[in-house]
Amino acid sequence: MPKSQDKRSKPDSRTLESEILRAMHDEDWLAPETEDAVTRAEARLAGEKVTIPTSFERPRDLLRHSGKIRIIRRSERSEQNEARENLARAAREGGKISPEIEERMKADRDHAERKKKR
Amino acid sequence: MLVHRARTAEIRPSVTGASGPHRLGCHARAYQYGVEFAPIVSTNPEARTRFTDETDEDLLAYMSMQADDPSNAEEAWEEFFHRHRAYVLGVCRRFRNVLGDDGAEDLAQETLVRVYQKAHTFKPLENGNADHKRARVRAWLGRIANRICLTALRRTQAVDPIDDGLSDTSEPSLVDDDDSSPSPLVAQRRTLIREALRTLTERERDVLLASFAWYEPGVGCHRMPSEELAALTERFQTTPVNIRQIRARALDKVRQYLNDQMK
Repeated sequence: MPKSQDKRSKPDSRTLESEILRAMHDEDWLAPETEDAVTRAEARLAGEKVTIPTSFERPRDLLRHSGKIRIIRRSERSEQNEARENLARAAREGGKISPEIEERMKADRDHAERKKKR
Repeated sequence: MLVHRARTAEIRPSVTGASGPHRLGCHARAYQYGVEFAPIVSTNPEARTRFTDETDEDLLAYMSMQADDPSNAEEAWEEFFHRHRAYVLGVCRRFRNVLGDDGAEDLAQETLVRVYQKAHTFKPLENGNADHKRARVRAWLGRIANRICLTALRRTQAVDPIDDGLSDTSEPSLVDDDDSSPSPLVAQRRTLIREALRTLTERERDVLLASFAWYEPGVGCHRMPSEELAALTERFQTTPVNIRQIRARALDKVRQYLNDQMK
């Protein structure tokens, strides 16, 4: 088999992959690309609230400042979530946040920010 | 660089009352396609009023003439943006697992900006009612979003989607949307594959979706290049071998599910 073929799917996998791609669309893993899928998405979104970022209120700024798509690593996301969770837990329990928790929260936040800058 | 972002307003997209444009008051309005907005501050309310009664297709036609009349084109885009922003943000949230919250928001932004740049590639529907035409425009938006997302996933670092080499977004969908009446056997197989996907773990699902960034219609998924695999391992915090294993396991699960159910 030529080397270029090595990097491609085998025929049976190829069919399955094509079917999986369709299923991904049907399961709404991807943005709707067909009219039926759009109708389904609209019906689903009708019951959901969508938060509009402030930047979306000045569309012309976006037109002039379109930029990069940020992809955050899973570890950073989980760290951010952990920091948020600590804060939420402290808030749920009410009263004052103990110095230990406050220290931990600060460390979590600093760690996440350092990693993000890297 | 993306402009500063902060969340202030919440809106609820709706498909009800999609009969046409009408005003709800000086601060709130319903757009042509029934998307409701909370009070917002527009940079140019007069311009939004001027294009309110235009169809999406007309707005895209104005945008496509940006070389001759950039001012009109931008105003038309602004109206288009307000009509569809809630929908685009809503569907781009599907990618939060693989892009993160900020990435999904960036994707929505880039999708809407790409509309302005690629308006001339949109092929309007000659016949059809308003609902069909809206769905066609939004299906086109979906193709743009998927292309930008899959391109972004191919790269380790954040990418500039404007220079990503993608050209004509009017290309056909990745899925065959003409195949709407499959045979019972094919329909059953499709249902089973959907069920099988639901059995995957979150990690299997994310890795499988990311691997489809290398999918080519008629060819299948290309083997991920090692440097790209390295990026994926960093994102998923595992080893390259494990990424391939996770993907293989996900495919095996789907195959196994199919075999078990079709016996």
